[in-house]
Amino acid sequence: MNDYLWDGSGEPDGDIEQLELLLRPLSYKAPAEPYAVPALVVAVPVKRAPLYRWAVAATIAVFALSLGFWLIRAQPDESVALATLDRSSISDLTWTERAIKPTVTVDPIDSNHVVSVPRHTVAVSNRGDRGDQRLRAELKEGRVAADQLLKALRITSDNLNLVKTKVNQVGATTPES
Amino acid sequence: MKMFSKLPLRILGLVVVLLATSWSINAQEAARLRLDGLDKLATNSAHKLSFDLNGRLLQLAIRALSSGDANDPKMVKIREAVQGLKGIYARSFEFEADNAYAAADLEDVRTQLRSGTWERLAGIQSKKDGQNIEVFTMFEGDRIGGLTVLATDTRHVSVVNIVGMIDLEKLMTLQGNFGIPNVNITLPIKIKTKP
Repeated sequence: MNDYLWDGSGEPDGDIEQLELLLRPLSYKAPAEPYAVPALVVAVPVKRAPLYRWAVAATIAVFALSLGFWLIRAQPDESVALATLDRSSISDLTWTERAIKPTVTVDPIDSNHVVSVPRHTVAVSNRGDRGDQRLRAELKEGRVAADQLLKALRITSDNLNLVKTKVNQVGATTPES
Repeated sequence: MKMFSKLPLRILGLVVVLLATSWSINAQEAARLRLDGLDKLATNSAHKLSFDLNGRLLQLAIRALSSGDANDPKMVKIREAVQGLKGIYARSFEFEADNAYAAADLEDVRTQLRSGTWERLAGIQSKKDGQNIEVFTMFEGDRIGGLTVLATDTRHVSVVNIVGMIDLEKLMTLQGNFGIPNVNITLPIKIKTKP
């Protein structure tokens, strides 16, 4: 058995030698120095933010948090916003007109003019669950608040008109110089 | 790293926004009067009205008014008048006897109205009835941001402080829309004229 093709021992074969001769220029040539694997991680100098920037950022953050906290505290407390309203004692708020009774005549109240806060504007079921109770409470609260709003607007509007009318009449009766 | 380098700028932006919000809130707070000093009048009064409407309660009130007939001209007027309001604070007292309160009781409110931010728009005074009505306004730029009406006579004290953007004309057109018709005024005012 000829092992020339396997490990080069034995009698050389002519055809194989011819092939070896042709392929020899393409054979592996070991380099003079072993290949050096380049470092995958290159040490880059870390560029840190200057210390003063952090100091400024921290100061601003503390200031912003303090300001936010102060703003939250400064909000009016809505839970106590209302109402030392004594509804039993304000059945008649026409005192503004009565206060100027000596100089004012008020026409009889026309029931067609009455503006009332809508009472049945939202359908509420009678199931009595928490959502409905909360809705009812909000509606009731809204109606009371709307009543108060109307009363305040009425007082304001009536007095503004009274002032305007009197100022105009005084202006009209003042002789021209 | 870029994120960290922009952090101060972002925080600065947040601070600017917070400061703008704070300025807006302070402007509203400036138009609000402290009416607590009037509460002592309640002890002698026969009738009283005292409430502070702002924030959620005011929104509830406006919502209640808005839920009515959208085409009712009276409700439309009222809704237009309350648009832009931030708060309404009222104290009203009626006494059974004349001079049941002292002028000094109103001094706290008057002191606030004398501050530079308020301007006295108009006022009428009747010596015969002891009636005195004064209207004060606070401007934010060229718009009215606060209105206070102080009305008194021998038996009544009423202070209404309105905070927010106010249209006086719309407010005045409300008269006659609350169930009370317009008042017809006959003035006893006599002004001497030159011969």
